Amino acid sequence: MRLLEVPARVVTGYQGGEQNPVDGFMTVRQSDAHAWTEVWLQGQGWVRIDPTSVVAPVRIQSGAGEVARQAGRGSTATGTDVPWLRALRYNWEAVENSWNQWVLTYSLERQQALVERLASPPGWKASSCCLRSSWASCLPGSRSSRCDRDWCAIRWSVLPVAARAARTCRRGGLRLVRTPRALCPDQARAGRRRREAGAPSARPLRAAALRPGLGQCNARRCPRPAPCDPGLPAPPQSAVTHGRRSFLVALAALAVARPAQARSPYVGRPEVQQFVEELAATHGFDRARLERWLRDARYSASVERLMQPPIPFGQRNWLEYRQRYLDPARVQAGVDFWQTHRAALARAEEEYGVPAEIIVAVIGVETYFGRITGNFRTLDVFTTLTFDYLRRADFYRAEFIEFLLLAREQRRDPLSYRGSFAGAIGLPQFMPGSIRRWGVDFDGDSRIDLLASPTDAIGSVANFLVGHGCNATCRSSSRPRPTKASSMPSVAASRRGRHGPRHCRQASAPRHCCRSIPP
Amino acid sequence: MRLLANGLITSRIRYDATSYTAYRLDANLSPPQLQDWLVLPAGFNPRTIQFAQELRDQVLPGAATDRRAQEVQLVNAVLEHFRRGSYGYTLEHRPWDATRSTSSCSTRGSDSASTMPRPSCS
Repeated sequence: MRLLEVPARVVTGYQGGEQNPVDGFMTVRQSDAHAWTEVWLQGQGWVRIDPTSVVAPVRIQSGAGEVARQAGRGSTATGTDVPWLRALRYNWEAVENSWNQWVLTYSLERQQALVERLASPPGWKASSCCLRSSWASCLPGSRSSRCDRDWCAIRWSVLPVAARAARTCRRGGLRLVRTPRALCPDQARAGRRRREAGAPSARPLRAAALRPGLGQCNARRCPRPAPCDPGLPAPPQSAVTHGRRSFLVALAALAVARPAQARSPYVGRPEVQQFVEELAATHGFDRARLERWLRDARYSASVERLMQPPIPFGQRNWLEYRQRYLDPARVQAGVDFWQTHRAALARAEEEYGVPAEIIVAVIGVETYFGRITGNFRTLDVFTTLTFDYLRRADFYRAEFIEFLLLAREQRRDPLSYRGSFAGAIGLPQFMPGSIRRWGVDFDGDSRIDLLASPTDAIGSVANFLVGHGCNATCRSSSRPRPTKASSMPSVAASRRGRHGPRHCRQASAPRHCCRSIPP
Repeated sequence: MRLLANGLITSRIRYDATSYTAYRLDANLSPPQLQDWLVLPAGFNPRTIQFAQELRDQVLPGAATDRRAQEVQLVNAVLEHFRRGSYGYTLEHRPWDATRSTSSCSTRGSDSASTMPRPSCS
């Protein structure tokens, strides 16, 4: 088609599949892989043209399995065509699918969600020993090994063992439910002792604080004791061992899940206590009030997961990225934002000398012009990243303090803030420290609200950029440099003619100005 | 369209997706953007180039002057070529039989069988 000057491309994917009559799920296999073409037609966009449909319509209408059957192979990649064997396969796959849906992916978060959903009639103290110990068992050494990975390490090969273990465990769990907590007082004491001793590892400690005494309790009831001394590194264990433990826990969770009373994972931890003392001493915060906030703070596993550094993909193709990123909807949203707030933007341009398009672009890149500002509770983000995610703990500890100061200055409840998983707030995604340093009340309502007031956001972005050395003079030299001249952002390119090339005042400025809001 | 994970996938993952069977994609691409979808490596597939030239000479004289209509006719001509050209579809991984290739040119299939003509097929 390209030789005929018709824009064309190859598309690969899957075509067909097989619906399992047992559970109604569609199974798509590697043997359903298919490649076809698309041509681009004016006014219609990409249109699917599949030559296979004219050569072998049966492939398109009935799938790869039918092609194989007609070819007389009698069997496909999926197995045999004998009816009873096929029925067996359907049943087997339905079981396997249920297993995948309900056991393997029955992750920590979903367990917690279940427990939260069943939220407690007050006084319901006991969860199942095994359910809780599942969390505990996952935690030692968990900075490197994640529970979710363990779940998926389970294979059919461990099923008989795991099922037996689960039965035992379930019995133990049920007994515990009948006599909640009283069974493990010695462990509770041990947990307290460990906390007082100030054991180094943060998350196991949290586990101990959250559910004192479960390790040993677990050791008594369950065939595979969880390592329960948080001070010791977890012994090396095969994935299958982990898996088995996780499995029995999963079954136990399904069988006897009981709501655990919500308790703070933070109050009572020595490093948290130290944090409270420090804030009280240096910034005059009221200890009781701080503790009340911290009691409401929750550890967020998704925050921690999202903070993991991404695997580098290598150099991305700017052209491809630009095409994906700068789609018509985003451009339109930018134009709308600019129109709606043109007065504030013009004022910012005048007062700070920062070009309006750069302010619009920053807000567009950060939050799609305010559409995606994040829905994580900022307090949870900071407790999680300060106390449970040690990779950037110093940075987040400082920002946590800034956050509490900000809330105090703004006379707002720290629990009321929401933002990104990294703690950034509002349309321009400022960190609390940046809000305190660079935020401005641009709409004159005597408060700085970067989430509710786009005007404040516009003024604050301008002020931030000026504070980092940006002004009208660095309009064009600060743009990201694409590899090809033709791939310059077209909106910007069209404006360039009007203003002409400009240069930054300071030699070092272009690298920094107009470029980034700190994470 | 691609789905990219933010990290290595080391365990079973679950995600939600919605499919749209009636869609319109990139209906307003500009000529420079379309240029990407017209690029071919130089110096390859002389017989396919010749086939394309013949097809063009055959179709375009009688075709409408409207570019869009011309493109539709070209697409149909190519599909017609596949329909009449004794092409086949197979899932067998059979070695390529050069003796069969001249007149009835069966495209060799794989599981992801594509019926794109090979140079020797046209």
